[in-house]
Amino acid sequence: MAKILIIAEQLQGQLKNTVGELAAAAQALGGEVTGALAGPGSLQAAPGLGVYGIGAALVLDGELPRYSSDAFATVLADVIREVGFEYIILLQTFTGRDLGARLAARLRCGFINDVTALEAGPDGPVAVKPLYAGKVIGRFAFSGPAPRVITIRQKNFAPVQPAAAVAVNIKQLPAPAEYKARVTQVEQKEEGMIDLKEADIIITGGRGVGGPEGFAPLREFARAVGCALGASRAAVDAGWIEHSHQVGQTGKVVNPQLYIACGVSGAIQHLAGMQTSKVIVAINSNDTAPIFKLADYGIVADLFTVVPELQKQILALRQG
Amino acid sequence: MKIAVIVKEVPDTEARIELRNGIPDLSGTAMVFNPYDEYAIEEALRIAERTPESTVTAVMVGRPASQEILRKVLALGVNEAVLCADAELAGADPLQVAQVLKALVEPLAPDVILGGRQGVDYDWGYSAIALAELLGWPHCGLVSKLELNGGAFRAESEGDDGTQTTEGSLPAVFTTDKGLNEPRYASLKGIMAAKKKPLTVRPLAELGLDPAVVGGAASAVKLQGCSYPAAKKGGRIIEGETVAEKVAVLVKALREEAKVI
Repeated sequence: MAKILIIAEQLQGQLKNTVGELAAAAQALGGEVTGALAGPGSLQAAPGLGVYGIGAALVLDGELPRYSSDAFATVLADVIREVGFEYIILLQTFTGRDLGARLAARLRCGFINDVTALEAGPDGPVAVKPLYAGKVIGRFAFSGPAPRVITIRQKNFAPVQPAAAVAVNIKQLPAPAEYKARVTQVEQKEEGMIDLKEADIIITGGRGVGGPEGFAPLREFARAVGCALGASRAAVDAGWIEHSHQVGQTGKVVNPQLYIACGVSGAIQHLAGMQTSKVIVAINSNDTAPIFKLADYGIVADLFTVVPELQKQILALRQG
Repeated sequence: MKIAVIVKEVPDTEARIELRNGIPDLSGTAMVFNPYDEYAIEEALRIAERTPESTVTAVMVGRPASQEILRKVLALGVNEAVLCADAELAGADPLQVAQVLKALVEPLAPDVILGGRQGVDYDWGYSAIALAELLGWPHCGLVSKLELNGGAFRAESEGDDGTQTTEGSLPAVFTTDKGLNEPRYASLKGIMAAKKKPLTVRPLAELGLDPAVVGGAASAVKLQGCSYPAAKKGGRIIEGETVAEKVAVLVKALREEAKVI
C-alpha cells in the first residue's frame, strides 16, 4: 500500500478541521495515511488526528518559530525519504503552498498544486487543476518517481467527518539544524472576520459600492449573518478596501456554498476566483452586467436597499 | 546591489484559450509578462534607485519570441535581460525551469532575486521557491512589504492566521504579491532606451545544461489533457414589485431550492 503523508495545519495547539479535506484526498489516492504537523502547538494538536481515523503522527514541535519554509522542509524531507512516503498532500493555503513547493524542491520531485480532484488513471493518479484562471481544466499525471507532492484547493474534497477516535501514535521529529528564514511575528487579523477561504457564505462588493463607505452595509451584513467579506479587483484597485479581501485571479480563489456579488460587473478575472461557488447571487442595478449570465439568482436593484433587506430576512428566517 | 528579476510570459488575462487535441494552443494568443511579475520588477527598480551602484537584470525561460516581452521589461528601467529559449524546454516542469533559472542567475551573483508569486497560466508558484532551494538560499513567498537592511531582510506576507513577518539574511528569493507597490508604466524615453539595452539569448547547451535532464521530455509532471469547464446555465432574474418582495422570493429559493441558508 502506498504510504501517504498529509501535512495538517493547527493554530495554537488546535487542529484545523481542514484536515478532513486532506484525509479525503488521501482516501482518493488510497493508502496508509500518516499525519504531520509542524510548528509550536503541534504536539498538543496531534491527538486530534484520531477522530479522522489517522493513527500515526509525525510532529515537529519545541522551541521553534511559527514557520520556517527551509527548516521545516528540510526536517520533513528527511523523514519522507527515511520512511519512503510516496505522496505528500498539503492544503493550498499560504503555508501549504509555500512549504509544499520548498519541500518538493528539496526532494527534487514533481509538484502539482491547487488540485480540485484526484482520479484514477492508467499510470497512477490524475490530478485535476484549473488553468488560465479557470478558463480550462487541466488533468496532470506524475511521470517521475516517488515522492510526489500535491496541494489541494480548499472546499473541493468532501471532508472526512470526525468519528470515533483511534489512538494516535506520535513520533517527534528532530529539531532543525539551521534556519535560513524564520517567521518572527504574526499579527492577528481583523477581529470577528471570517476567512474567505473557509467561509460558507461570502458577500462581495464591486465597483457598484461606489466608495470605501459603500462597504459599510456589506460589512454589517457579514457581521450579522456571520460570513466573509470579499471585494472585486476594481474595488481594491480603487483603494476602497484592502487587498486581503480580493476575490479573483490576482486575489483569493473561493468555493463557498453561497456567493453574493453586489455591484460586481463580472470581469473574467473575478469569475476565476468564484465561479465554482455552489450558488451565486448577483445584485446589480445594471441588468446588462455579465455577472447575471453566471448567477443562479439575480436581483436587478440598488444594492444599498437589497443588502439590508436580505440581512433582515435571513436573520428573521434563522430566528424561525 | 545586484538584483535579478524572474519574468514569465503568459497569455493576456482577457484572452480565450484555444485547445488543440485537448492541449492549449497559444500560437495565436497575445502574450504579456505575468501580472504578478510587475510587482517584482517594480520592487527591483525601487531597491536599485535607493541603493548606489545597483543593477537589475531580468531573467526568463521562454521562446525566441519572448524577446519582445523582455524589451517591454527593459523599457520600465531594468538594465539588462537574459533569455533562455530552447525548443527542448517545451513542456518542462517548474523544477526544471528552476534549474535553468539557476544557470542564468549564477553568473550574475545577485544579492536579491524577485519573481511574481505565481504565473497566471498554470498557477504553479513553484519555480522561484525551487530556485531558492537549489541555491541553498532562504525565500519568502507572497511578499507585500519588503525591507532590506545591510545584509538582512524583513518581509511581510498575508499568512493563514494574519500578517506575518519573515526575517533572514541575503542573498534571498522573494515572490511578490499584489499590494507590495504600485507598478510604473514605461515612459517614451524608457521605450527608446530599451532598444539599445543588452538582451542576451542563450540556448541550453551554452548554459551547460542537458536537455535529457531539464527538457520537457524528462518532466516529472505531464499534462494529459484539458477541457473547458461545463458552462453554467443562465440564471434566473427574480421579479417582484418591491425590493422586499424580490428579497423574499430569493430567500425562499435559497432556503428551499438551493438549500444553502
